[in-house]
Amino acid sequence: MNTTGKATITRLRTGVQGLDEVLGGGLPEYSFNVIAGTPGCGKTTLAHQMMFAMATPERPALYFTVLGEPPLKMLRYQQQFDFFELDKLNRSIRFVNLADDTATGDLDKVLSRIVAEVELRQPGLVFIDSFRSVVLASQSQGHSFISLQQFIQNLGVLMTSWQATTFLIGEYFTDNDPNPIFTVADGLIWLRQSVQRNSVVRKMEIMKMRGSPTQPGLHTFRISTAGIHVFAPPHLVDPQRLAPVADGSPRLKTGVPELDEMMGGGLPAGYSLLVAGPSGSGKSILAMAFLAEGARHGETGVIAAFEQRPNRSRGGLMAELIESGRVGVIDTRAAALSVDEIASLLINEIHRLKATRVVIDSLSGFELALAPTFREDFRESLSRMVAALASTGVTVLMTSELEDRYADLRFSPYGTAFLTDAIVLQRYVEVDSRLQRVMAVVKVRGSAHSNELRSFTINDQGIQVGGMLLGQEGLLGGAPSRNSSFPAAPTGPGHG
Amino acid sequence: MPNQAPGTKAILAQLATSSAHAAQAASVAVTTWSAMDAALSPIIGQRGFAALYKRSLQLTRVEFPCLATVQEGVLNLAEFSALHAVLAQQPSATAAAASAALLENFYDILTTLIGRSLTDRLLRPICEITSSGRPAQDTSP
Repeated sequence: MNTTGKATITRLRTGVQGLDEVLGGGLPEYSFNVIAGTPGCGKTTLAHQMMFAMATPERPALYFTVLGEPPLKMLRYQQQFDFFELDKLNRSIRFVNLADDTATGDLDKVLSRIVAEVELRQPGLVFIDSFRSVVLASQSQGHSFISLQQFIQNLGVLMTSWQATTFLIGEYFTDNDPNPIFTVADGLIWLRQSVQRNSVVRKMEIMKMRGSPTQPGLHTFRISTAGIHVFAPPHLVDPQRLAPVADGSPRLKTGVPELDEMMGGGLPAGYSLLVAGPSGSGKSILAMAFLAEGARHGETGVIAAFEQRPNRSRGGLMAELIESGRVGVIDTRAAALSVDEIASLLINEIHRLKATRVVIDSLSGFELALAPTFREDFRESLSRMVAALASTGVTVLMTSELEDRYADLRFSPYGTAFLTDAIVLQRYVEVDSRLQRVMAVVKVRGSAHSNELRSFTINDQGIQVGGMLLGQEGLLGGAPSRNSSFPAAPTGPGHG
Repeated sequence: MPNQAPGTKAILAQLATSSAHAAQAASVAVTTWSAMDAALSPIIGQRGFAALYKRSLQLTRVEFPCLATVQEGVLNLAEFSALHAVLAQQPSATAAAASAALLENFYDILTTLIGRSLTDRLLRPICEITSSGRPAQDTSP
């Protein structure tokens, strides 16, 4: 209840996935908004999607079409979207064509026509598409700038007093355009298409939204048959959640018992684990084992696989887990991804499945799938994503391709090692003219762990960890030599 | 669905062919077209409606050459007195058939552009007038 006597601003749910979050909780009622952007950036689609979501018989919408896109074309294309509910037409939503009034360039006439329709229909939502046509028509008739300003001011005042939430949809070519509209507007939603090399990424910016704690920055969005989906930057779901500690947290089994042992009893719940290794060393297999182990304990998981098709790669078991809904798969096939998009999809899926385990396989593939415009910020975005995932309480396993460089000991080409709570390293070494795999636990924050470099093999049952390669030294150099003080020792199961 | 109500297209055709005389058919045509103009022009603009009307005449004049003069007269605004004049001069069967064909062509064009559901929804007022008007005529002695 409002006890302070201050005006209460109701926030309308826009029906556009992710937009309410970006707007800071929805669109303020009775606000006067501008949706701007170049042709083809999705302005009309955004307007329609919001209108179909917000319009009700009690809060009807009036959609004024001005010159520009012929209404027939608009209806033809917009009805392809899922949100275009025919039932709402003429009941909650009414289209009004203003082309004939605008053609004269007389803004007074346009305004009085709008007023007449608004008085007749008493809409709660008013859309004017496209507003630029109104502006151009007035300019071509030699009307001064002031008259346009007055028109906008009058329109703004009128719509607010009619208690209508208003949207002007227009093409504006520069941000610095001293258009009077930007001063009057309460909200300014700017849609862009950023082009870098061959990739085009759609981005949305809330440049202004009076009275709302909007999320600053450019937010990527996609348009599909379901309409627009905005990918709000991942936020901490529960900022109060304390960072997990190894001592207090239960330990999760990874599906490889010897590795659990090496980590001091499993991976502490809520931790993020980086599995780094060269191509083919078994990172994905470890990731699948991690999810399968969760499923065995009744947990659900989510995987974002950038390398292989997750339901193909590990054959039957993984496919079965995905089929039965115990593992959710994030679609990573879309072109020109952003980290925020993947983060948003992951978090939605985590909530949907109440997942406790998340796999990202791999960071290298992830970076390749990103639009070039996002690659520079990969580390920062990844850091935000890992923090946001952690705040949901899930335990994360990420894999990272590691070049086999024997001259230095590296865990990740991105400097991502610091982001994670635990690191498992896989390497190839040459022993007796064979490539052998070795694995070590490099870090488990706040927990004692093994410092052994253990050999391992991969067979139909998955990863089999053997013993240390005793008698060999210089393993991390890739070409160990036999230490003559040791007798020859077996090097683990499956050897030979 | 069994016992489905007749479609908009059928209603329009029925409307056009329901008159006994050419003059009556012409009047019905004008009433129907005016109602469609009133239903569609606010949404698609008067010019948009006129363009569709003109296109329908273009398609229909192949079968009914008498409509050629009507088509030539259409400018930016749809106006139906020319249609009335031409239909009224035809034999009654021709007037009814031409009127029906014109409406059907218009309906088909609109359907191609914006789909059947939306077309039916936008033209619903016309069908409602017709269906509510019909029983009154039937019960007259």
